[in-house]
Amino acid sequence: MPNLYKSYIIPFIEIGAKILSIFTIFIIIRLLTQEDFGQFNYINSIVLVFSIFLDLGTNSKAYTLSLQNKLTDLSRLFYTRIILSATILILFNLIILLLTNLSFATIGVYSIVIWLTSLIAFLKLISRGRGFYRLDALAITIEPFFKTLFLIIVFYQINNISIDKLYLLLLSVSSLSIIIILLKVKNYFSFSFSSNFLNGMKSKKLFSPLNILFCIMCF
Amino acid sequence: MFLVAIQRIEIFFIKERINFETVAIYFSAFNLILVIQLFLRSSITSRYKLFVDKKIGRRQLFLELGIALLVILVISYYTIPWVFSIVYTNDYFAGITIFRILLLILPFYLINTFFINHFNVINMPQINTIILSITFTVKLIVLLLLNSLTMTNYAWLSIGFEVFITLGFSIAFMPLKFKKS
Repeated sequence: MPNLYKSYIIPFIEIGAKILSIFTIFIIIRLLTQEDFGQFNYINSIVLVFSIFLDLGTNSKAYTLSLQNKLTDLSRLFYTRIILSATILILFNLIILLLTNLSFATIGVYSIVIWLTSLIAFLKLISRGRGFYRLDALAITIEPFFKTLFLIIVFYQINNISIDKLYLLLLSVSSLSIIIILLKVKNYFSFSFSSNFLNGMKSKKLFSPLNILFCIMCF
Repeated sequence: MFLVAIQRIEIFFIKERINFETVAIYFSAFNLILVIQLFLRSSITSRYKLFVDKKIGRRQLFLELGIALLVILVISYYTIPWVFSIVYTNDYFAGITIFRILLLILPFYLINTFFINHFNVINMPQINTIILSITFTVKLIVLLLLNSLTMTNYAWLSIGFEVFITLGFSIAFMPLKFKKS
């Protein structure tokens, strides 16, 4: 199928995946008690606000670089992103665990889930920029698909679940998805590791006024 | 992302000042509003391309989106008890009232999405950043100052701040419009 037609299909796949993600909320609401569902949304809100720092503007930068076919810069950006976002993830967890009474089993695990999800989104945009629509479609659908499947199984087998176990389930879904995506990515492109990958940090987007302003406001 | 932060900030206050059960009920309504927002956002971004290419005028764009919004509002208002009975358990039925209040966010959300798109397209994203960060700060201060709010009050406050964003964008949009004419 020509790429032009495939590019038209992608938005529909994206909307389908979004609907699937919303559907999982309705399963989760039936799996958790009312108090746990409140806590689930509370933790989600904290992690979603924090996820602004995980992206660091690298997703749009990756899309532009892949459109321009700048593979060396893309490799640098990939490793820079992993190192920076992992550092932010550790700092976030340290701050949360020291200052609040939330446990690592909930907020820590969920922040790792979001970290993996944002990494999938990063790889999705590279695939889109380079015109690998099959890989793009896989990156869009894989996580919502596994999440829905696992939750339906849990719903029919166990009927209710504690919030800690739910987060572990979401972590296993994200881990499984990223492993499959990374295995598939190998068939399309590879990221060569070079010692000067930190040059990617010079990217203007990482320290954009928006990121700095938001950091100040959150503190 | 700023919009996400603005929309979700009250959750921390509901949890601290009321309890997790109230957070759950509030979010049962908010999740359904997010579904409608997703639909509106994709409608406006897909129609906006035609507007930029001058295939449709501003009046036609707003007329189409306005009619679609009106239909969504009327259908959602009357069918929500039925939707709640299918999607949620009986514990969440208090969310119906919250949902009906939060429906009032949608017209302003539609206008704000248009403005955000518009300022991005004309290469002035800093206006979005300024207005949304001012709203975020003001909302944070207001929430810190108001102590004894009920769940319904929080819903009305959300609408108030959506209107606040619309006013901010309208003020920023005015000089650009006059400059053009």
